[in-house]
Amino acid sequence: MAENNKIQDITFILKDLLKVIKVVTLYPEDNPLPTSLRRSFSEKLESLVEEYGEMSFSIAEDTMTYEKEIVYESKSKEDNLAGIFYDTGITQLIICDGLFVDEIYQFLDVIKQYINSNDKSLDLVSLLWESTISQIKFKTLEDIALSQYDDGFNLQDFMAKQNTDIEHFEGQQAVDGSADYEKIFIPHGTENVEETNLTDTNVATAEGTSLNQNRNNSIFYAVVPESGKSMRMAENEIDEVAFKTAEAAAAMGLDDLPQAANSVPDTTMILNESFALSEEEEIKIQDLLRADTEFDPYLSTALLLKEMLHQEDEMGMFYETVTICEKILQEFISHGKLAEASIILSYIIALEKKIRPKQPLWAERLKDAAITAGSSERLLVLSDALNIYKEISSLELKKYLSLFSWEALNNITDLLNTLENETHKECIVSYLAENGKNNIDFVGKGIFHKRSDVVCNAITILSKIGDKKSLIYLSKLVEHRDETVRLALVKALKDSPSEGVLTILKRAAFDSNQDIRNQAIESIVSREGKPAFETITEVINDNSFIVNDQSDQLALLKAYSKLGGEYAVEYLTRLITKVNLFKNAQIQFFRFAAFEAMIINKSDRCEQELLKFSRSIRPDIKKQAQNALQKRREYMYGGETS
Amino acid sequence: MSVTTAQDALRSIAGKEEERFLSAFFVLYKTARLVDKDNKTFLNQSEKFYNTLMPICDKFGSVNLKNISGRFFVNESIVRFDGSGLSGADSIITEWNELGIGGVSFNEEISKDEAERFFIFMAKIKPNAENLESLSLKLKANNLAAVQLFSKAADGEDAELLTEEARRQLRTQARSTFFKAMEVVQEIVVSTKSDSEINISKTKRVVHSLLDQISQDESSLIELASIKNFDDYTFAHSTNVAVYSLTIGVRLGLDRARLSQLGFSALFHDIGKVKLPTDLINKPDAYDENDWIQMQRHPLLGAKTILRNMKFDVHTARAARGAFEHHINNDFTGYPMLRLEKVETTLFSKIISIVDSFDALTSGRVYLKKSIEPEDVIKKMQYQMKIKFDEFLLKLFNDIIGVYPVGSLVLLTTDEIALVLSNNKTDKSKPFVKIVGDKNGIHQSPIWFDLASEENNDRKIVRKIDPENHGLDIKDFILEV
Repeated sequence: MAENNKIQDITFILKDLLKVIKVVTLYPEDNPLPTSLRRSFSEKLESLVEEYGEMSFSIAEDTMTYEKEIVYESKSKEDNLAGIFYDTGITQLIICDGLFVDEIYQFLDVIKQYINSNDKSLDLVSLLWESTISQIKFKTLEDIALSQYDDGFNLQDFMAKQNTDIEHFEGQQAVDGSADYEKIFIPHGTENVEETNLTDTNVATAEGTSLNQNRNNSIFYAVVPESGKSMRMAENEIDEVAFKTAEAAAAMGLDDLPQAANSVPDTTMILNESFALSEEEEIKIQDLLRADTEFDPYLSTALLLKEMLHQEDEMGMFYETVTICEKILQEFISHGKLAEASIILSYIIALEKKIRPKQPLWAERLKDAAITAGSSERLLVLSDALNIYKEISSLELKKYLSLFSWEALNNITDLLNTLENETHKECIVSYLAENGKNNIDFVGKGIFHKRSDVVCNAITILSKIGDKKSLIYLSKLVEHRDETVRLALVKALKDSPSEGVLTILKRAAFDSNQDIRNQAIESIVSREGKPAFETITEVINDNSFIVNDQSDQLALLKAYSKLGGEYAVEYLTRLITKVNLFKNAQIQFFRFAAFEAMIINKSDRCEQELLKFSRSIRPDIKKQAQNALQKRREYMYGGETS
Repeated sequence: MSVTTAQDALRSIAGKEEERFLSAFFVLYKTARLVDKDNKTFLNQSEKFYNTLMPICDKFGSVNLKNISGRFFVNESIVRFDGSGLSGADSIITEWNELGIGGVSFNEEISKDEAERFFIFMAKIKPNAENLESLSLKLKANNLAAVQLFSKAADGEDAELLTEEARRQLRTQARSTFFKAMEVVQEIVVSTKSDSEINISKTKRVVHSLLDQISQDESSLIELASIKNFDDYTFAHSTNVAVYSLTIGVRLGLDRARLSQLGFSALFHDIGKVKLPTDLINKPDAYDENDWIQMQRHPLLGAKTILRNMKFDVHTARAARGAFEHHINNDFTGYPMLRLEKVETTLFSKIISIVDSFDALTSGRVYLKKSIEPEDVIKKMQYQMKIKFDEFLLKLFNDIIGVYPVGSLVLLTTDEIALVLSNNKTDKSKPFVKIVGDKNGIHQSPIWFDLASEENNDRKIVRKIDPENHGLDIKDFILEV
């Protein structure tokens, strides 16, 4: 029964593990769901390990087995816990006694990193190995292969490649080497110097004494200073060593060595203290280590590529280096490293200018690389990266975009179709507004997009540019099928100082949507000058004026009065004097609105007309005129009135 | 109760019982720091620890847990870690090193309560304010008589004596790992030649295997790295450079991630040579000027190959830099000559540069057709090429190589021929050796000796033997387990 419970508990915890993996990989870290799920799962697993001790799971393609019982099974390709491990070659997963929550968190983090990475070369086994998780262990196919490595077979296989005999050494001696072998034991003093190998002579014994005292008498035997003897090599040996080393050193770029010393000053080499690092040296090493912790793979590679661009003297090879730069640039972008990508791209651009006079063909390749970086295909990678790495700052993005010339504008505009993050979108919009002036056709094409959000972005860019050409594009949107687009249009144009927008706003003032009308009229009436007055006049004179809200009508009439001065008075007077026998509400409203509008009209003619009305025999007109007159005086001499 | 020293017994590889004990020890040590003594987890772990402790106490009268150079021994048996197990011990190793603790012993009279009190006691100590002496006094004052802390042995005093069987096992394992690494290098070369994708995961995993091996037994791999007459030396050279570099990295205390990057970089440092004409690489004669011009392009070709054929990540970034810089000297001589800015080479490039030079010069297979003996190379590097390398890293490397490099054949005062298996940290002139022959010929069954041991006072090294001069092939001695 207890055993059944155990199996059941383990089965459940594995199901939970899959669930928690799915959640933590799908949701952002700050989301409460993965946080709480992770915590509850980790606590559950910790107590399970505490209760049952070490748990070892054998992993197959779609099953996990514990003590010969299948505790997890799934044929699904997406939801397969065993598959996550099996696919990377893990054949056994051991959850050890003493597992704590912090290690379970780390384990989940590693799996999240692995699953969420776009990098197919990322290896779960390597990630687990590099982490500091000690109580979750695993065995891989490699471990099995290594433990079953057949020494005999491999050795023979290996030796077969060498074309050498793998016979036992004894046999080898008997056949061809017995004479040489015996020489090992010949005291050195009696050997032929020419046959003496350097090795057999130049290393001292720490003791400096030998069973064979003859050896001590030989110049070939070096001793440590402790025993009071010097270590010297025979002249011919020094030469040979010096020659061989110098030759090799030159080959390895280690030339310009000082001359070899006559006596090899290496007695200290065998003083044991000389091997130990002093405190000062330890500090130097620590400095090296500290400096290494600052190693930034991206910055390092960007600098390396800059250097590599100067290393080739042949054009074909140079082209190859540029191709590598392009590849790495793309990888940096896909990893969200725009600042470092900017280093590479800006250097390509700078180098192109620098070498063009002398190496035009080389420069052409660099130019091509810079242009290709702004291609739609490449910018799609940027778009994906921006959607993944939402933390990329606008400054970083703008700096990167600033490296592109007009050729990329079209594709940069397309970025707006795919970006998800508002900050990034705003950044692109601002970039295009700044850089798109001379290429309206590129940045304006967005208005024809089927997606309203893309059209809205195009509106923002064009309205920021605000020149004649951009307004031509914008005017095409006044009758866009989507209200949100039309609303975005009037909102975008609201603060545009361009007079040209009035034509668009005038049309929007009669939009079927009330919000749009309101926004358009609000924008129109907020303007000053003749063009604004003329627009207002046109709106008022339009037959559709009547369909507007009374508040809008009032606003328009007030603006008409304010901007028109004495030219407006006649029309307003007509509205006041219009006969209204049947108490028509609209006529009544227009009269009221006309009086309101006259309050803010500063012309003398207005004053005169109001005075006339204030003496009217029609009591309602008289009363309204007197009120208006008083308010007008307050407005003109005693401050603002609404 | 007496604390056993290394000389008391030959060490073997610990069994499951000791492994379980050590694991329970680590867990309880960590638990005591995280929770209260009345906590259920602590009590459970304490129970488990006690249950693993007592069977060993019953058998041996006591349990001595000792840390020697980051390795743990239980009653003189080395406990083998897999890769992940070691990281759990890291904090204990650091703390013990700071306190000067070399180990702890529990005698058979220990009660469960006393064991619990010991772990609680250890959890509360502040490494900066204590030392071994003060801790020992406090243990007594706390009535913890069945537990004893003992000091770190002086370097070398506690040399690692393993039984022949244990050594054999470690060497067999090392050999598998080494050859596996060579196979992977071969695959890398084949992939690079055909410009197909390089299997990065496989390379990383093999680096991890090398590292796990070095953590357990550094000298077995260094021994294999000393074989210079493999036919396809390119593969062996890259593997050797990885082994030596990782050994330096471990000594420097690099973390696992950086060690992994270092090993990876080392394996790829010469990848640019694959792009050079095969005729040039295999040219039997000395290189002429044109050959050298071509040869000196390999660092640039290497960096290009890595950046072009691999997905970019920190490993490839490190490897590209390592490949590009491994022939640039500390004083900016060497090649390629930096044409833009004199940027200091990275730590990894400095390490690879030293190790590559050493292995290339000693092999006689990479740049010149004659090999130079390791000690000559070291001497030259130390005195004539000093300005070319980072002197501190070079010194560290010298310490690893020693006077008699691992894999050297030496003649002893007893007229025996011995293969150097590992260096003695205190006395470089007295390494651990395997006697492979004498005047009568080669031994069928080699015998292991620690020349630093007093018992072996009559055995001293007379000189090194150049195996080639005497018709011997060192490979046979090394590969014979």
